[in-house]
Amino acid sequence: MKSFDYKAPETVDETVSLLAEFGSDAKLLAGGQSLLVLMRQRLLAPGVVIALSHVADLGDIELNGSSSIGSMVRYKTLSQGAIGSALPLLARSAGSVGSVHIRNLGTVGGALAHCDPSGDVPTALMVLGAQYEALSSRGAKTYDSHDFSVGLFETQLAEDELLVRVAVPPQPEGASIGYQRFSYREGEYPMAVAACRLEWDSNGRCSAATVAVGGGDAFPKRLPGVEAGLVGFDFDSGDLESLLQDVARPDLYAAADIRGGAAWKEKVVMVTLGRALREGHALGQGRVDA
Amino acid sequence: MRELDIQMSVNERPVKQRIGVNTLLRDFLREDLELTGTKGACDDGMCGSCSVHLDGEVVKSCLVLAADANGRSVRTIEGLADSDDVLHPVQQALLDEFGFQCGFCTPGMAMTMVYLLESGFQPDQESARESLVGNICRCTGYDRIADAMILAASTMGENNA
Repeated sequence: MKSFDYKAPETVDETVSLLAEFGSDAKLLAGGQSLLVLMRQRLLAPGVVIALSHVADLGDIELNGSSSIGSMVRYKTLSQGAIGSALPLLARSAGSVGSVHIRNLGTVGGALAHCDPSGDVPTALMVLGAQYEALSSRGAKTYDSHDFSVGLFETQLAEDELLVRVAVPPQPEGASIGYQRFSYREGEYPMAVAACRLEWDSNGRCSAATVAVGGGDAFPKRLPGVEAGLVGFDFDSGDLESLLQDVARPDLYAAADIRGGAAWKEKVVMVTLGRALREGHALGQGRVDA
Repeated sequence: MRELDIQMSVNERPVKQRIGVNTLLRDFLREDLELTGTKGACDDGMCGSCSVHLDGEVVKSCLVLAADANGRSVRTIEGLADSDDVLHPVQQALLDEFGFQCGFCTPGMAMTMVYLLESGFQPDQESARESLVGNICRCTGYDRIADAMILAASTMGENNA
Protein backbone atom coordinates (compact mmCIF):
# COMPACT_ATOMS: atom_id res chain seq x y z
CA MET A 1 0.00 0.00 0.00
CA LYS A 2 1.33 3.44 -0.93
CA SER A 3 2.22 5.74 1.91
CA PHE A 4 -0.22 8.42 2.97
CA ASP A 5 -0.77 11.02 5.60
CA TYR A 6 -3.01 9.76 8.42
CA LYS A 7 -5.45 12.01 10.28
CA ALA A 8 -7.51 10.88 13.24
CA PRO A 9 -10.01 13.66 14.03
CA GLU A 10 -12.19 13.38 17.11
CA THR A 11 -15.11 15.61 16.16
CA VAL A 12 -17.35 16.10 13.15
CA ASP A 13 -16.22 19.74 12.88
CA GLU A 14 -12.58 18.71 12.77
CA THR A 15 -13.36 16.09 10.11
CA VAL A 16 -15.22 18.58 7.94
CA SER A 17 -12.31 21.06 8.19
CA LEU A 18 -9.86 18.36 7.12
CA LEU A 19 -12.09 17.52 4.15
CA ALA A 20 -12.23 21.19 3.18
CA GLU A 21 -8.45 21.35 3.33
CA PHE A 22 -7.56 18.09 1.57
CA GLY A 23 -10.74 17.43 -0.48
CA SER A 24 -9.88 15.55 -3.63
CA ASP A 25 -6.64 14.10 -2.22
CA ALA A 26 -8.36 12.64 0.87
CA LYS A 27 -10.34 9.48 1.56
CA LEU A 28 -12.50 8.90 4.59
CA LEU A 29 -11.74 5.60 6.32
CA ALA A 30 -14.88 4.20 7.96
CA GLY A 31 -14.81 0.44 8.60
CA GLY A 32 -12.18 0.03 5.89
CA GLN A 33 -13.57 -3.27 4.60
CA SER A 34 -13.62 -2.05 1.00
CA LEU A 35 -11.29 0.97 1.07
CA LEU A 36 -8.23 -0.88 2.38
CA VAL A 37 -8.63 -3.56 -0.30
CA LEU A 38 -8.84 -0.93 -3.04
CA MET A 39 -5.81 0.87 -1.64
CA ARG A 40 -3.79 -2.31 -1.48
CA GLN A 41 -4.73 -3.12 -5.06
CA ARG A 42 -3.63 0.45 -5.86
CA LEU A 43 -6.95 1.22 -7.46
CA LEU A 44 -6.96 4.10 -4.98
CA ALA A 45 -3.95 5.95 -3.64
CA PRO A 46 -5.17 8.84 -1.50
CA GLY A 47 -2.55 11.25 -0.20
CA VAL A 48 -4.49 11.66 3.03
CA VAL A 49 -6.53 9.11 4.94
CA ILE A 50 -8.97 10.60 7.44
CA ALA A 51 -9.92 7.88 9.94
CA LEU A 52 -13.44 8.17 11.33
CA SER A 53 -13.02 5.58 14.08
CA HIS A 54 -12.37 8.19 16.77
CA VAL A 55 -15.01 10.72 15.71
CA ALA A 56 -17.67 11.15 18.38
CA ASP A 57 -21.40 11.11 17.61
CA LEU A 58 -21.31 9.19 14.32
CA GLY A 59 -22.39 5.96 16.04
CA ASP A 60 -25.66 7.22 17.54
CA ILE A 61 -28.96 5.50 16.86
CA GLU A 62 -32.45 6.83 17.58
CA LEU A 63 -35.46 4.69 16.87
CA ASN A 64 -38.95 6.06 17.26
CA GLY A 65 -41.42 6.84 14.47
CA SER A 66 -38.60 8.20 12.38
CA SER A 67 -35.23 6.59 12.81
CA SER A 68 -31.82 8.18 12.78
CA ILE A 69 -28.74 6.05 12.31
CA GLY A 70 -25.23 7.47 12.55
CA SER A 71 -23.03 6.82 9.54
CA MET A 72 -20.47 4.83 11.59
CA VAL A 73 -23.05 2.34 12.88
CA ARG A 74 -21.76 -1.11 11.99
CA TYR A 75 -23.52 -3.94 10.15
CA LYS A 76 -23.31 -5.96 13.34
CA THR A 77 -25.39 -3.37 15.20
CA LEU A 78 -27.78 -2.92 12.28
CA SER A 79 -28.46 -6.63 12.06
CA GLN A 80 -29.35 -7.14 15.71
CA GLY A 81 -31.71 -6.21 18.50
CA ALA A 82 -33.55 -2.93 18.35
CA ILE A 83 -33.07 -2.34 14.62
CA GLY A 84 -34.12 -5.92 13.92
CA SER A 85 -37.57 -5.23 15.34
CA ALA A 86 -37.93 -1.60 14.20
CA LEU A 87 -36.56 -1.97 10.67
CA PRO A 88 -36.42 -5.67 9.79
CA LEU A 89 -35.52 -5.03 6.14
CA LEU A 90 -32.46 -3.03 7.15
CA ALA A 91 -31.48 -5.71 9.65
CA ARG A 92 -31.87 -8.48 7.05
CA SER A 93 -29.75 -6.64 4.52
CA ALA A 94 -27.00 -5.81 7.02
CA GLY A 95 -26.96 -9.39 8.32
CA SER A 96 -26.42 -10.65 4.75
CA VAL A 97 -23.20 -8.71 4.16
CA GLY A 98 -19.93 -10.60 3.94
CA SER A 99 -18.83 -12.73 6.85
CA VAL A 100 -18.97 -12.05 10.58
CA HIS A 101 -15.58 -10.31 10.31
CA ILE A 102 -16.86 -7.81 7.77
CA ARG A 103 -20.05 -7.18 9.77
CA ASN A 104 -17.99 -6.42 12.88
CA LEU A 105 -16.24 -3.50 11.14
CA GLY A 106 -18.22 -2.46 8.06
CA THR A 107 -20.50 0.56 8.46
CA VAL A 108 -23.68 1.89 6.90
CA GLY A 109 -21.98 5.14 5.85
CA GLY A 110 -19.10 3.24 4.33
CA ALA A 111 -21.47 1.09 2.29
CA LEU A 112 -23.39 4.11 1.01
CA ALA A 113 -20.32 6.09 0.05
CA HIS A 114 -18.62 3.05 -1.53
CA CYS A 115 -21.77 2.39 -3.61
CA ASP A 116 -21.21 -1.14 -4.83
CA PRO A 117 -23.51 -2.17 -7.73
CA SER A 118 -25.10 -4.86 -5.54
CA GLY A 119 -24.73 -3.30 -2.11
CA ASP A 120 -27.14 -4.97 0.31
CA VAL A 121 -27.73 -2.09 2.69
CA PRO A 122 -27.98 0.66 0.03
CA THR A 123 -30.64 -1.39 -1.82
CA ALA A 124 -32.67 -1.90 1.36
CA LEU A 125 -32.43 1.78 2.36
CA MET A 126 -33.87 2.82 -1.03
CA VAL A 127 -36.96 0.75 -0.33
CA LEU A 128 -37.31 2.30 3.12
CA GLY A 129 -37.26 5.79 1.57
CA ALA A 130 -34.16 6.81 3.52
CA GLN A 131 -32.49 10.19 3.34
CA TYR A 132 -28.79 10.76 3.79
CA GLU A 133 -27.50 13.80 5.65
CA ALA A 134 -24.09 15.17 4.75
CA LEU A 135 -22.02 17.98 6.21
CA SER A 136 -19.28 20.10 4.73
CA SER A 137 -17.73 23.45 5.56
CA ARG A 138 -20.31 24.85 3.12
CA GLY A 139 -23.19 23.59 5.24
CA ALA A 140 -25.60 20.68 5.54
CA LYS A 141 -27.18 18.86 2.65
CA THR A 142 -29.74 16.07 2.46
CA TYR A 143 -29.77 13.49 -0.32
CA ASP A 144 -32.63 11.19 -1.26
CA SER A 145 -31.77 7.51 -1.41
CA HIS A 146 -33.55 7.10 -4.75
CA ASP A 147 -31.07 9.27 -6.67
CA PHE A 148 -28.05 9.26 -4.33
CA SER A 149 -26.07 6.90 -6.59
CA VAL A 150 -25.08 8.28 -9.97
CA GLY A 151 -22.61 5.79 -11.42
CA LEU A 152 -20.38 2.82 -10.79
CA PHE A 153 -18.99 3.39 -7.26
CA GLU A 154 -20.15 6.98 -7.61
CA THR A 155 -22.60 9.00 -5.54
CA GLN A 156 -23.75 12.60 -5.34
CA LEU A 157 -21.53 13.18 -2.29
CA ALA A 158 -19.07 15.99 -2.95
CA GLU A 159 -15.40 15.49 -2.18
CA ASP A 160 -15.58 17.75 0.87
CA GLU A 161 -18.73 16.17 2.33
CA LEU A 162 -19.02 13.82 5.29
CA LEU A 163 -22.03 11.51 5.47
CA VAL A 164 -23.21 11.95 9.05
CA ARG A 165 -26.47 10.08 9.36
CA VAL A 166 -29.20 8.11 7.69
CA ALA A 167 -32.79 9.17 8.37
CA VAL A 168 -35.51 6.57 7.83
CA PRO A 169 -39.11 7.84 7.80
CA PRO A 170 -41.90 6.00 9.65
CA GLN A 171 -42.86 2.88 7.73
CA PRO A 172 -46.47 2.33 6.64
CA GLU A 173 -48.63 0.37 9.05
CA GLY A 174 -49.14 -3.25 8.01
CA ALA A 175 -46.53 -3.22 5.25
CA SER A 176 -44.54 -6.41 4.67
CA ILE A 177 -41.02 -6.72 3.36
CA GLY A 178 -39.14 -9.08 1.08
CA TYR A 179 -35.39 -9.39 0.72
CA GLN A 180 -33.52 -11.83 -1.49
CA ARG A 181 -30.00 -12.08 -2.82
CA PHE A 182 -28.31 -14.44 -5.25
CA SER A 183 -24.71 -15.54 -4.90
CA TYR A 184 -22.83 -18.79 -5.47
CA ARG A 185 -21.31 -18.59 -2.04
CA GLU A 186 -22.49 -17.06 1.23
CA GLY A 187 -20.57 -13.93 2.07
CA GLU A 188 -19.88 -12.76 -1.45
CA TYR A 189 -21.18 -9.60 -3.01
CA PRO A 190 -24.38 -10.96 -4.56
CA MET A 191 -24.92 -11.17 -8.31
CA ALA A 192 -28.37 -9.79 -7.66
CA VAL A 193 -30.13 -8.31 -4.67
CA ALA A 194 -33.81 -7.36 -4.48
CA ALA A 195 -35.80 -5.66 -1.75
CA CYS A 196 -39.45 -4.69 -1.53
CA ARG A 197 -42.00 -3.18 0.80
CA LEU A 198 -45.60 -4.11 0.02
CA GLU A 199 -48.83 -2.68 1.42
CA TRP A 200 -52.14 -4.50 1.28
CA ASP A 201 -55.80 -3.60 0.90
CA SER A 202 -58.66 -5.34 2.68
CA ASN A 203 -59.04 -7.82 -0.21
CA GLY A 204 -55.46 -8.98 0.11
CA ARG A 205 -54.38 -7.14 -3.02
CA CYS A 206 -51.25 -5.09 -3.15
CA SER A 207 -52.15 -1.43 -2.60
CA ALA A 208 -48.67 0.11 -2.79
CA ALA A 209 -45.19 -1.20 -3.57
CA THR A 210 -41.66 0.07 -3.20
CA VAL A 211 -39.09 -2.04 -5.01
CA ALA A 212 -35.34 -1.82 -5.62
CA VAL A 213 -32.78 -4.13 -7.19
CA GLY A 214 -29.02 -4.16 -7.36
CA GLY A 215 -26.49 -6.23 -9.24
CA GLY A 216 -27.48 -5.87 -12.87
CA ASP A 217 -26.68 -2.23 -13.44
CA ALA A 218 -23.91 0.07 -12.21
CA PHE A 219 -25.73 0.82 -8.94
CA PRO A 220 -28.92 -0.21 -7.11
CA LYS A 221 -32.10 1.27 -8.53
CA ARG A 222 -35.75 1.70 -7.69
CA LEU A 223 -38.07 0.12 -10.27
CA PRO A 224 -40.96 2.58 -10.79
CA GLY A 225 -42.61 0.43 -13.46
CA VAL A 226 -42.80 -2.55 -11.11
CA GLU A 227 -44.02 -0.35 -8.27
CA ALA A 228 -46.89 0.97 -10.41
CA GLY A 229 -47.64 -2.41 -11.98
CA LEU A 230 -48.04 -4.14 -8.63
CA VAL A 231 -50.79 -1.79 -7.40
CA GLY A 232 -54.00 -3.80 -7.43
CA PHE A 233 -52.13 -7.01 -8.21
CA ASP A 234 -53.53 -10.19 -6.70
CA PHE A 235 -50.60 -12.52 -5.90
CA ASP A 236 -52.94 -15.49 -5.39
CA SER A 237 -54.62 -15.43 -8.80
CA GLY A 238 -52.27 -13.22 -10.85
CA ASP A 239 -49.31 -14.31 -12.95
CA LEU A 240 -46.32 -12.57 -11.39
CA GLU A 241 -43.85 -13.79 -14.02
CA SER A 242 -45.68 -12.27 -16.96
CA LEU A 243 -46.38 -9.08 -15.02
CA LEU A 244 -42.64 -8.74 -14.34
CA GLN A 245 -41.82 -9.43 -17.99
CA ASP A 246 -44.02 -6.45 -18.88
CA VAL A 247 -43.19 -3.99 -16.11
CA ALA A 248 -39.68 -4.90 -14.89
CA ARG A 249 -37.88 -5.43 -18.15
CA PRO A 250 -38.09 -1.79 -19.32
CA ASP A 251 -36.47 -0.59 -16.06
CA LEU A 252 -33.76 -3.24 -15.99
CA TYR A 253 -30.35 -3.04 -17.49
CA ALA A 254 -27.83 -5.78 -16.90
CA ALA A 255 -24.21 -5.43 -17.97
CA ALA A 256 -22.02 -8.42 -18.71
CA ASP A 257 -19.19 -8.94 -16.27
CA ILE A 258 -16.79 -11.63 -15.12
CA ARG A 259 -19.68 -13.60 -13.60
CA GLY A 260 -21.84 -13.85 -16.69
CA GLY A 261 -23.30 -12.40 -19.87
CA ALA A 262 -25.92 -9.65 -19.91
CA ALA A 263 -28.89 -11.89 -20.72
CA TRP A 264 -28.02 -14.35 -17.99
CA LYS A 265 -27.47 -11.61 -15.44
CA GLU A 266 -30.78 -10.02 -16.34
CA LYS A 267 -32.43 -13.38 -15.73
CA VAL A 268 -30.73 -13.67 -12.33
CA VAL A 269 -32.00 -10.22 -11.38
CA MET A 270 -35.53 -11.06 -12.57
CA VAL A 271 -35.60 -14.35 -10.64
CA THR A 272 -34.26 -12.69 -7.48
CA LEU A 273 -36.83 -9.91 -7.82
CA GLY A 274 -39.63 -12.46 -8.18
CA ARG A 275 -38.43 -14.28 -5.06
CA ALA A 276 -38.34 -11.07 -3.03
CA LEU A 277 -41.85 -10.11 -4.12
CA ARG A 278 -43.23 -13.56 -3.34
CA GLU A 279 -41.57 -13.43 0.06
CA GLY A 280 -43.09 -9.99 0.67
CA HIS A 281 -46.48 -11.43 -0.24
CA ALA A 282 -46.00 -14.48 2.00
CA LEU A 283 -44.97 -12.32 4.95
CA GLY A 284 -47.91 -9.98 4.29
CA GLN A 285 -50.45 -12.78 4.55
CA GLY A 286 -52.38 -12.56 7.76
CA ARG A 287 -51.64 -8.87 8.14
CA VAL A 288 -54.65 -7.99 6.00
CA ASP A 289 -57.39 -6.46 8.13
CA ALA A 290 -55.21 -7.13 11.15
CA MET B 1 1.61 12.27 9.96
CA ARG B 2 3.40 9.36 8.33
CA GLU B 3 4.49 7.71 11.56
CA LEU B 4 2.54 7.26 14.74
CA ASP B 5 3.26 6.08 18.27
CA ILE B 6 0.63 3.55 19.11
CA GLN B 7 -0.16 1.52 22.18
CA MET B 8 -2.45 -1.41 22.51
CA SER B 9 -2.99 -4.44 24.62
CA VAL B 10 -1.99 -7.62 22.76
CA ASN B 11 -2.93 -10.86 24.46
CA GLU B 12 -3.30 -8.86 27.66
CA ARG B 13 0.23 -7.44 27.45
CA PRO B 14 0.70 -3.70 26.92
CA VAL B 15 2.57 -2.88 23.72
CA LYS B 16 4.05 0.45 22.60
CA GLN B 17 5.57 0.99 19.20
CA ARG B 18 6.22 3.61 16.54
CA ILE B 19 4.71 2.47 13.26
CA GLY B 20 4.29 3.67 9.70
CA VAL B 21 0.67 4.75 9.37
CA ASN B 22 0.17 2.49 6.34
CA THR B 23 1.04 -0.62 8.40
CA LEU B 24 -1.70 -3.21 8.49
CA LEU B 25 -2.60 -4.66 11.88
CA ARG B 26 -1.61 -8.06 10.49
CA ASP B 27 1.89 -6.90 9.58
CA PHE B 28 2.28 -5.09 12.89
CA LEU B 29 1.49 -8.34 14.73
CA ARG B 30 3.67 -10.53 12.55
CA GLU B 31 6.64 -8.29 11.85
CA ASP B 32 6.87 -5.86 14.75
CA LEU B 33 5.65 -8.18 17.51
CA GLU B 34 6.79 -11.43 15.84
CA LEU B 35 3.43 -13.04 16.57
CA THR B 36 3.53 -15.13 13.41
CA GLY B 37 0.60 -17.38 14.31
CA THR B 38 -1.60 -14.87 12.51
CA LYS B 39 -1.20 -15.68 8.82
CA GLY B 40 -1.46 -13.63 5.67
CA ALA B 41 -2.52 -15.12 2.36
CA CYS B 42 -5.05 -13.52 0.05
CA ASP B 43 -4.36 -9.85 0.80
CA ASP B 44 -7.90 -8.83 -0.12
CA GLY B 45 -9.98 -9.84 2.87
CA MET B 46 -11.39 -13.07 1.45
CA CYS B 47 -9.42 -15.87 3.11
CA GLY B 48 -9.67 -15.15 6.85
CA SER B 49 -6.26 -16.60 7.73
CA CYS B 50 -5.38 -13.31 9.45
CA SER B 51 -8.44 -13.35 11.77
CA VAL B 52 -7.82 -11.86 15.23
CA HIS B 53 -10.02 -10.33 17.90
CA LEU B 54 -10.17 -6.54 18.17
CA ASP B 55 -11.87 -5.40 21.38
CA GLY B 56 -13.34 -8.89 21.66
CA GLU B 57 -14.74 -9.07 18.12
CA VAL B 58 -13.30 -11.15 15.31
CA VAL B 59 -11.92 -9.12 12.39
CA LYS B 60 -9.57 -9.66 9.49
CA SER B 61 -6.33 -8.01 10.51
CA CYS B 62 -5.42 -7.32 6.85
CA LEU B 63 -8.48 -5.03 6.73
CA VAL B 64 -7.49 -2.91 9.72
CA LEU B 65 -4.76 -0.29 9.91
CA ALA B 66 -2.57 -0.74 12.98
CA ALA B 67 -3.07 3.02 13.49
CA ASP B 68 -6.83 2.45 13.78
CA ALA B 69 -6.23 -0.19 16.47
CA ASN B 70 -4.41 2.40 18.60
CA GLY B 71 -5.63 2.22 22.20
CA ARG B 72 -7.59 -0.98 21.67
CA SER B 73 -7.08 -4.59 22.69
CA VAL B 74 -6.10 -7.41 20.39
CA ARG B 75 -6.18 -11.16 20.94
CA THR B 76 -4.33 -13.50 18.61
CA ILE B 77 -3.96 -17.26 18.33
CA GLU B 78 -0.96 -16.99 20.69
CA GLY B 79 -3.32 -15.68 23.37
CA LEU B 80 -5.79 -18.58 23.31
CA ALA B 81 -4.11 -21.35 25.31
CA ASP B 82 -3.87 -21.05 29.09
CA SER B 83 -0.39 -22.58 28.98
CA ASP B 84 1.80 -24.72 26.74
CA ASP B 85 0.14 -27.79 28.23
CA VAL B 86 -3.50 -26.74 28.21
CA LEU B 87 -4.95 -25.73 24.87
CA HIS B 88 -8.11 -23.69 24.41
CA PRO B 89 -11.10 -26.02 23.86
CA VAL B 90 -11.29 -24.88 20.23
CA GLN B 91 -7.61 -25.74 19.64
CA GLN B 92 -8.04 -29.08 21.41
CA ALA B 93 -11.13 -29.88 19.34
CA LEU B 94 -9.33 -29.06 16.08
CA LEU B 95 -6.61 -31.48 17.18
CA ASP B 96 -9.02 -34.20 18.37
CA GLU B 97 -11.16 -34.05 15.23
CA PHE B 98 -8.15 -33.59 12.93
CA GLY B 99 -9.78 -30.40 11.71
CA PHE B 100 -6.84 -29.35 9.53
CA GLN B 101 -4.32 -30.69 7.07
CA CYS B 102 -1.59 -28.18 6.25
CA GLY B 103 -2.70 -25.96 9.16
CA PHE B 104 -2.22 -22.63 7.43
CA CYS B 105 -5.87 -21.55 7.83
CA THR B 106 -6.17 -23.03 11.32
CA PRO B 107 -5.25 -19.98 13.45
CA GLY B 108 -7.83 -17.88 11.60
CA MET B 109 -10.43 -20.64 11.81
CA ALA B 110 -9.78 -20.96 15.53
CA MET B 111 -10.12 -17.22 16.19
CA THR B 112 -13.43 -17.09 14.30
CA MET B 113 -14.73 -20.18 16.11
CA VAL B 114 -13.73 -18.81 19.52
CA TYR B 115 -15.54 -15.53 18.83
CA LEU B 116 -18.70 -17.24 17.63
CA LEU B 117 -18.76 -19.86 20.39
CA GLU B 118 -18.03 -17.28 23.10
CA SER B 119 -21.01 -15.33 21.73
CA GLY B 120 -23.17 -18.39 22.50
CA PHE B 121 -23.49 -19.80 18.97
CA GLN B 122 -24.58 -23.47 18.97
CA PRO B 123 -23.47 -24.94 15.64
CA ASP B 124 -24.58 -28.00 13.71
CA GLN B 125 -22.81 -29.19 10.55
CA GLU B 126 -24.68 -26.81 8.28
CA SER B 127 -24.67 -23.70 10.45
CA ALA B 128 -21.02 -24.27 11.39
CA ARG B 129 -20.03 -24.26 7.73
CA GLU B 130 -22.13 -21.17 7.05
CA SER B 131 -20.66 -19.34 10.05
CA LEU B 132 -17.13 -19.99 8.78
CA VAL B 133 -17.79 -18.58 5.32
CA GLY B 134 -15.15 -15.89 5.91
CA ASN B 135 -12.42 -18.48 6.49
CA ILE B 136 -11.19 -20.49 3.55
CA CYS B 137 -9.46 -23.86 3.80
CA ARG B 138 -7.91 -25.14 0.58
CA CYS B 139 -7.01 -28.62 1.87
CA THR B 140 -10.09 -30.14 3.45
CA GLY B 141 -13.77 -30.50 2.72
CA TYR B 142 -14.71 -28.55 5.89
CA ASP B 143 -16.45 -31.59 7.46
CA ARG B 144 -13.74 -32.10 10.05
CA ILE B 145 -13.50 -28.39 10.72
CA ALA B 146 -17.24 -28.23 11.38
CA ASP B 147 -16.98 -31.36 13.55
CA ALA B 148 -14.27 -29.63 15.58
CA MET B 149 -16.46 -26.56 16.04
CA ILE B 150 -19.35 -28.72 17.25
CA LEU B 151 -17.08 -30.59 19.66
CA ALA B 152 -15.63 -27.32 20.96
CA ALA B 153 -19.13 -25.93 21.52
CA SER B 154 -19.98 -28.89 23.69
CA THR B 155 -16.68 -28.72 25.65
CA MET B 156 -17.12 -25.00 26.24
CA GLY B 157 -20.73 -25.59 27.31
CA GLU B 158 -19.59 -28.21 29.85
CA ASN B 159 -16.82 -25.94 31.15
CA ASN B 160 -19.38 -23.23 31.78
CA ALA B 161 -21.95 -25.56 33.36
